[in-house]
Amino acid sequence: MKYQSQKVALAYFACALVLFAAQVTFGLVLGYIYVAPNFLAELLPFNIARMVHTNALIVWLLLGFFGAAYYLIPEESERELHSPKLAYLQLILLMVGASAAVLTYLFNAFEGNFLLGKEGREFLEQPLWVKLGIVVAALIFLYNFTMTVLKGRKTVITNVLLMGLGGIALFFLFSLYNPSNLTVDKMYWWYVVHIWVEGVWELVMASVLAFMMLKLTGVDREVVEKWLYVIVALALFTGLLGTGHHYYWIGTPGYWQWIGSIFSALEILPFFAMVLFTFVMVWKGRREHPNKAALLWALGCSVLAFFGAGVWGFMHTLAPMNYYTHGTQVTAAHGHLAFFGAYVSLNLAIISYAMPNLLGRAPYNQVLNMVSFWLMASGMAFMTFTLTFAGVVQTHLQRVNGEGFMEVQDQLGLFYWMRFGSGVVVVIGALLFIFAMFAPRREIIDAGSAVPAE
Amino acid sequence: MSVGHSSHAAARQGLPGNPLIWVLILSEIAAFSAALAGFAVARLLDPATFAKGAAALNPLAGSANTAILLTSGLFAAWALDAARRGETSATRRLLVAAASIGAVFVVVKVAEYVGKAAIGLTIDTDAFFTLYYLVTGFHLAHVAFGIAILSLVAAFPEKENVETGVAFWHMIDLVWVMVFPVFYLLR
Amino acid sequence: MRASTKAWIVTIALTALTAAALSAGMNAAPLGWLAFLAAVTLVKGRLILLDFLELRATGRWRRGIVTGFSAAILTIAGLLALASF
Repeated sequence: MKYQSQKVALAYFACALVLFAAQVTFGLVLGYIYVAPNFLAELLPFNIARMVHTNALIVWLLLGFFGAAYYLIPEESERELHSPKLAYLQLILLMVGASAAVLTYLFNAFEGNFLLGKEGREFLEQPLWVKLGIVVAALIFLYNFTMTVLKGRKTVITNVLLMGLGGIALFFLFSLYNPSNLTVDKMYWWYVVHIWVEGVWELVMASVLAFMMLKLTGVDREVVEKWLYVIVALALFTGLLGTGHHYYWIGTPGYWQWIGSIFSALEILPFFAMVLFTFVMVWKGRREHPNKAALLWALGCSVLAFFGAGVWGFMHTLAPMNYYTHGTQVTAAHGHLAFFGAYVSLNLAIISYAMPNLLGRAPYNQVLNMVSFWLMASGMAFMTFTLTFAGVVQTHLQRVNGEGFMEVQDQLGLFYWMRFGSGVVVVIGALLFIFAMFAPRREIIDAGSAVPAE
Repeated sequence: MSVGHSSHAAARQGLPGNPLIWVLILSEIAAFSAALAGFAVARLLDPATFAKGAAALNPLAGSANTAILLTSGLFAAWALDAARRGETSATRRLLVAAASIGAVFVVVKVAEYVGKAAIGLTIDTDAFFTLYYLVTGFHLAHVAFGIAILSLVAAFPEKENVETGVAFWHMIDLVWVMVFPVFYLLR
Repeated sequence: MRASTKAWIVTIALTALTAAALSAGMNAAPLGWLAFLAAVTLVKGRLILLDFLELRATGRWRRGIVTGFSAAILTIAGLLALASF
């Protein structure tokens, strides 16, 4: 670890992994409720558990992004972070907010209160005061990041990362706008959700992957930068108007079916480019970096993102198809693999890469880490397949044949049991990863040169 | 995939200009091709509506617009030649000429839209007109943007800027050549 | 004569030819007319790519991009042709 202030990342990664553990645990509970609907029905209704599952996911991924930023900014801009104290303050704000939100959900605290009670919209259920706290945390981050980069070396990687994180902050502001017209409400809701995960989050993903490729493969910075520009251009060009694929059936004009279909169909391109990018960099790279686990996660990230976000996304993005599959288990299949491939894997990759440097050790526990990759990846892949089958059956019975929702759900039990099994595997993998990160060991794969890029 | 390729003039050279403009050009061709393919499928499913729609358009206006864009493209190409010879004022004049001719395209197109709207043919009328307004409208937005780019490049006429701005302009021309027969000439 | 000027002459001529053919009623046979339009579009597009966008001397890129463009035109034309069956 070349700069002392990179240590801030350690705290972010630790908190992120704690929330990751909580997220997948609640996921397992939800998967069980699917097959045993009365489980904890009084204490922990499904919708409350789901809120914790989704909110924990978003917060831990954001903590991971911030941690990655705090790790790579000092190294890229070749100077210490402007204020490590502010970075810790930001973390405290986010953790307090996240914990408060979860407690509010679990105990339905301050129900109906304008400032303190939970709010209605999916993924944006946080009480207003927590949302405002998130805005403050984001501003603190942007200030810290900008002050650091302004006086240091400016690289394409930091520019793209700043654009991504700035975009995250900017579009989060739309969570504060809740129009009374339901159509308009939903239209703006996607300004947060779509423009995050199919827009500015992709900038974060591309820049962090680029940083990792630079360090792990030793390919020239100029080459990495060219790829990064192409990926970012493709992501923004396809993703912004691609928002239209959420405007098919909410009451907006019919021309959105055309705009959304055309541009969202092209959204697969940046993910395909990221697969090419990571594999070509590894193929051309001259370096044999000892952190094999980090490389596995990075390559796994681009491939699984391509399948989960790209292929599975494409399968149900065209309006005529979406008309039948909208809101079915097909959506759940896509959503889970997309998040896991693009963003969970990205965070686990950068954590795998940075942790040894942050703790001042050679890359360790790599076999355990790589086993956890294969457990989680195969668990998520199997989950995707079972939910896809469930979704196709559901679409046919419910949307084509016209059977009722509950009658159809009754027939999907086998798929939900298989999904639960795959969830168990994922949780085991997650816990194994966390153990691999923190349990002190001295095993490394090989002693190859660990000289970082210039 | 040699993205790291330089663009020196040689017997076998790389893509002229900034590689990112080529990412844009190819993405735009892909997007408009997807839209036209969608048009073809929609037309297959409802030939009567599409025949009626095509009959309501004016092929002469479309042909004129094609000639207008091709001509402004020629002026843009000449501007690039001048930029390569280092003739700054000639470059500027030719760029302004290209942009002005492009502005004529805008006038013709807007006149068409106003005429159609006046007789009640709007974006909600039917599938043909939804696509007509969306596709030619998206193209028109690019023409307007292209005029702004050419004007900006005229203010800063370094060779690389002219190369990039002119390439964008030619892409707009190319897309129109694809769009025009599909909407105006299938009658 | 510069390549760009020659390209302009040919494309303008094709535009005029198409307009004339339309006025003369040559669009009567839908498949023939579609084939004609596709051919004209391919020629015009190729000239814009090669002599306006200057791909003529770029070897592999030229072949790739012209092929991709032609594939797009032929696909669209093919889908349009289906309506005539």
